[in-house]
Amino acid sequence: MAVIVIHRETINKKIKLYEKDLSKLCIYLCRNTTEAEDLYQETWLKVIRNFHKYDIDRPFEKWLYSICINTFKNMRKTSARKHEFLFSTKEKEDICISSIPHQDIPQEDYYRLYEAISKLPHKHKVVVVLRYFKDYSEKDVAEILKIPVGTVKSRLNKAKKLLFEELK
Amino acid sequence: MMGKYKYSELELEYMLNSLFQAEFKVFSFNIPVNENFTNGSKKHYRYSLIAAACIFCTLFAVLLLTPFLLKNTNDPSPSIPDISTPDPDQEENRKIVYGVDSFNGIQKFEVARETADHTMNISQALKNEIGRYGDNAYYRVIIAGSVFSGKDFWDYKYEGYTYSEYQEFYKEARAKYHEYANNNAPEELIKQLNYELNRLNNCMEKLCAEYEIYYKEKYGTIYGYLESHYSFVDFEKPADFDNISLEDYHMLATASYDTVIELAKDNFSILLAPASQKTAVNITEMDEFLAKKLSPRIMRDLIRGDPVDAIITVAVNDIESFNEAAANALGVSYDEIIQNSLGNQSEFYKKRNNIYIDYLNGLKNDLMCEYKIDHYKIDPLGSSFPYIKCTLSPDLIKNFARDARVAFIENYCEWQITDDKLQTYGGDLISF
Repeated sequence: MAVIVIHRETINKKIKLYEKDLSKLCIYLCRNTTEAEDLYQETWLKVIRNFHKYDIDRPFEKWLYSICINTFKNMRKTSARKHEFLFSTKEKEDICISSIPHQDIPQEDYYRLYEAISKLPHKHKVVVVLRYFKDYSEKDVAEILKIPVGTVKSRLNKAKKLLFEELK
Repeated sequence: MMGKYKYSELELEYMLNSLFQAEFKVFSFNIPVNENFTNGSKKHYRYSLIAAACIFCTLFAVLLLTPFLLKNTNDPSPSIPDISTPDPDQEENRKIVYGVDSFNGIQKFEVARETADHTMNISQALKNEIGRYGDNAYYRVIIAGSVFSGKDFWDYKYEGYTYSEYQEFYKEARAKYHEYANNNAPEELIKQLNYELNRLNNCMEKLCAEYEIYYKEKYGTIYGYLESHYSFVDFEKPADFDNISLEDYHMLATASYDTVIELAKDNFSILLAPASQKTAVNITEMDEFLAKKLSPRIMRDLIRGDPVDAIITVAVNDIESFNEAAANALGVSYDEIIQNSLGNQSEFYKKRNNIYIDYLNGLKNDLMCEYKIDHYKIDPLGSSFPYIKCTLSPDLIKNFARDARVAFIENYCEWQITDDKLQTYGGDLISF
């Protein structure tokens, strides 16, 4: 409790700065808003409770995302809600997909890609989300996930192969 | 790989980038965290429904016990919060937050000085909602605004550039993007521009976020400016509302949900939620927030804080959702809707307003809320929206009894609905 009080201001600032990005990441990871909200809240809870452990020499963003990913992994172990559909209506899905700026590629392929990402094995999906959501390098992804860069590369390759299969 | 699969690796890479840059505007996913977590509450929001039930039962019990407790005036119970109808003779019951998006609000007030109609809009709202305590009461009014109205905002720089400069860069990049896309430019160029647009957008968001921190550090709190000047916005009687000058209203740097709630909790007993376009987004979130699982926690926090007698939440026309709906219906982009809503009197613009009415009809069904469009208003930015008068009768409120939001209103706005109806006015506000 003391820790929460001491770092209140700092944490508030961090929340302000990263709430949007984190909520997006949660949505990308979870594919349903209820689970994403849970993940978002759980992540900040963990940040608040563990803020004293945060190494200020390390970028906060990466620390935050690694907590988020770890929390997501734990949630996946216990959650039964694994295949709920993210969008409550088809219209919402359409709005999202149609907001993709460049439309040279048929929209239905974006739908397929979207579905394909959701079907990826968890460990591959996480790598894909981190790599493309924030445009992180493979090294950054490795740092966040605390795995070797080589593993990130191989998972990324495997993920792409699976995506190719789904899109062919 | 090319022969085997439909897309090349480069194309897949491009698709992934595009997909993850897609705007997920369709989600109302913005849960204010700090207010709830940093006040010591350890309960997770998923328990809030349980908490709601507990609070509801507690309130019910308190309401039942109130007559008994009031009789025993020699033995007051400090442990039970006073949630009874506020006594208008007590000063603390007369503090009021009236929020208006100041970015538009400030301009509206500039207009208000020149047009009686606009003056009526704000002052009438104040009279109706705030003036009910009578001529001898004491009023405190705050206009909460967006970050754009913060002091020095337009001079503030993020990575060397002001918000206006980023806006210009963005416009240029977007024009180029359209040009390239329409002229079959190399994919790589279009992709780069797409990245650039996202980067600029991100810079603008970061600028706002950093500015809020800067403001807070400079002025003490995010509403520090307000705190040092609020005496200017105290009114002796409703008649004074007719003479409100622009200087009477001191702008908040932000009207985020957290700030508004904090104001309500710490300083004020009645909160009228903000109204206008940009703030509408915040309030839409807030409205959902109250209606959903987190509301009981806020309610509890408010009860525990300084006396808060009522929060009147408003269901504002969700301008973003509307714009999205309009864009879909018209088969144009979201950006085009925004661009064409500013000062354009074209056919397109008329169509847009018709869709707006349809949208409101949808809203009406959702909210079971009676409203009528009095007339159209053109705001100082040139955007026209129906001027809406909206009422919600006590009977209607009772119909919502199973809804947490209305349970909240029933418990805290009892005094508000003892009249035949509760009504308010707003330029682009639906409230109840």
